[in-house]
Amino acid sequence: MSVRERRSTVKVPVTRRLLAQRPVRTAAGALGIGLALMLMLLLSGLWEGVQQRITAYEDHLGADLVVVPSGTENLFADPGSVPAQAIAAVRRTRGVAAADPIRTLYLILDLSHGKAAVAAVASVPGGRGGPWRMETGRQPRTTDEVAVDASFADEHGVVVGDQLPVLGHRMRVVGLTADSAVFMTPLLFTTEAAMSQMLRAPGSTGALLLTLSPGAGPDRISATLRARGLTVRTPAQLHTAALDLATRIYGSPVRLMVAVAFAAGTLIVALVAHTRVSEQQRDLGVLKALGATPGRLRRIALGETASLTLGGAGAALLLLEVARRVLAWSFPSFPVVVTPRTLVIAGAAAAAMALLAAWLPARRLARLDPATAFRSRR
Amino acid sequence: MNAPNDVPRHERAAPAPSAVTVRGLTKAYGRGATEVVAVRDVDLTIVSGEVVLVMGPSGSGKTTLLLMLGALLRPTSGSIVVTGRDGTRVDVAAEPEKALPALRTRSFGFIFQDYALLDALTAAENIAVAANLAGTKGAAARQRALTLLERVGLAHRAAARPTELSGGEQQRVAVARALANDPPVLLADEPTANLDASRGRDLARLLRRLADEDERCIVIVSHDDRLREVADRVLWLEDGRFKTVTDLFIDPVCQMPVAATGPAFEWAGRSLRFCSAGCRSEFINDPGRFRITTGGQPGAEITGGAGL
Ligand SMILES: Nc1ncnc2c1ncn2[C@@H]1O[C@H](COP(=O)(O)OP(=O)(O)OP(=O)(O)O)[C@@H](O)[C@H]1O
Ligand SMILES: [Mg+2]
Repeated sequence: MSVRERRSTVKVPVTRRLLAQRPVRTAAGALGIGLALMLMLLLSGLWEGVQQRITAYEDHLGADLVVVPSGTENLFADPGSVPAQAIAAVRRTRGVAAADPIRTLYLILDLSHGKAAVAAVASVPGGRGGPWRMETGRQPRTTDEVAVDASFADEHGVVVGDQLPVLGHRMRVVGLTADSAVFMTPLLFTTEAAMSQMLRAPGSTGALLLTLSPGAGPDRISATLRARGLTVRTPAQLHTAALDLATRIYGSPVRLMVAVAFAAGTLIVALVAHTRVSEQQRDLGVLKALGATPGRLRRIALGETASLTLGGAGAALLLLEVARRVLAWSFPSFPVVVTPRTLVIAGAAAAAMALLAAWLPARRLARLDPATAFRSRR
Repeated sequence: MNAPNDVPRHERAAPAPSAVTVRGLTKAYGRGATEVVAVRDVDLTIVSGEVVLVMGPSGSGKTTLLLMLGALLRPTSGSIVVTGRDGTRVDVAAEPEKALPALRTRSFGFIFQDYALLDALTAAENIAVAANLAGTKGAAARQRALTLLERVGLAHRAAARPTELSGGEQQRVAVARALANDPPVLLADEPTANLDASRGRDLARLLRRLADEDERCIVIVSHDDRLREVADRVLWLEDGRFKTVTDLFIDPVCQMPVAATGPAFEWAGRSLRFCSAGCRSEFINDPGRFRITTGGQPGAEITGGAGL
């Protein structure tokens, strides 16, 4: 289409003019919508962040298969022990190249200024299941050494070289680990030998992280181990189990909050759309009297709501970034992770809000009596 | 635009074609006990180029009649046949709902008491938007708006918003908007009510000129006695019916026209008429406050008849 042709089909931009007529009100409407959308994005972003942190350990096991105590679904929530004979049996199995013992359990640390919960992990130095990234210092090697999550250390003022009481023993902090701030319970790493001593259970262990020989099929080996009465999980299964547990605990409240934010958002958009249509009832009535079809009026009203929602979405992204920075600074253990999926869902939610909210005023427009243009007085 | 009209209308050879023919028009609001018959069985014929002024007491059905004429209100019964400039005839009362928006843009121009301009748009845009509704878009609509603004003497105010215009200017923009799609019929409800005396007279003359120059018929509903000077006919509507009245008085209190139906009130040698008992007692309390414009002097004959 040439410029000239396009110009000859251009109509007076009624929607844009109506929006520009009261810029403060338009901005306030968009901001209201933006706040509601931001709240939704923030809540889902927080939930996403929590989910990523909840499975941080399970996602870094590095094992092909995990042998767990019978009945165990979740490494931290169902601690049990794998007896010595079972360990020996696993190690004898063909295709198993290595079986690194680990112990996992929740602990309450008695710090000088109060108690703090941690998820403790005990592993063999150099074996699987230990810290995957160090921020400073090194991994624990001896039975009186620990490494703790760096943000936990930061929060509690712990530095390398400090002493921490673990199960009644004084342990020395030799390193701070990165990427290990599991939601609510940061990780604390120690040696398998230390934990077995402290639990007075030498010989047994919490779980075995299996490395398979090249070419060995995990399914076949899993079947072999099961046949010997052992319980075998894949890291993916453990990941799912950890997530399911968290969803059972926090999922419904978070979903409820997101739903409330959505409802509030829809209400705000509806209120804004409704107010605008009421304010513009006279103008729209005049247009109808001049011969505007109900469809044209609906397009004007919907166009306004859509523009406000779009503006609101922009405002929401800005507000979200602000909220994220504020949260990251004041509550580092509550990461807000905005995935493309969250954005798509929020966009769909915004569109749904706008449609829901514009529906009633649009219906009102269809019934608008053009005679009111003659009767209404300023 | 049509050729300028240098021959007075009544001297033209061929009789002007009828533009609007109303037969048996009735409108009842509500139903049963709350029913109000606002317009009863009205007949009316208006030819093109004619200015018809409809007067009458408040609540007599003037606005209702105008709304029906302009396809803004569906009559309870009766027909309203409008003849377009191309000779096509449409019974507005029988048109389906879907056809009404297009009919309004094509056949009618509306002029409202409170101007009814969109404050969000400029003067030119207010006119262009009406052209848009009839399918004229882009530069053509804009050009049309400017031409019409020039015609009402407001070309220099094209970019002004209604809030930046005086009442008289706003009403002239509204008149230009009514002309956007060159309709055969203009309908105006109390167009001078918010204008001072001289602006009101200017508007009346403008309407007269539009009727003469474009062979357009104009129906004006008003209480404003000044409009009588530009009207070809004055119709008196009372209780939803046209009445023939020989004398028209102006209520000295509210300056409303009053038909000489009931008994007159004699005061200082003059016959006065009041629109209501309230106005009469207000007058009696302090007669000195009011100016008596007419009284006892017969006005032009006002007909309530259907045809010419
Ligand atoms: N929508 C409506 N519903 C019910 N009754 C109505 C409605 N509109 C008008 N009426 C009634 O119909 C009658 C005629 O009203 P209309 O507005 O046509 O009078 P009018 O002659 O224009 O009066 P005014 O000079 O005060 O403007 C009045 O009695 C009025 O109360
Ligand atoms: Mg009226």
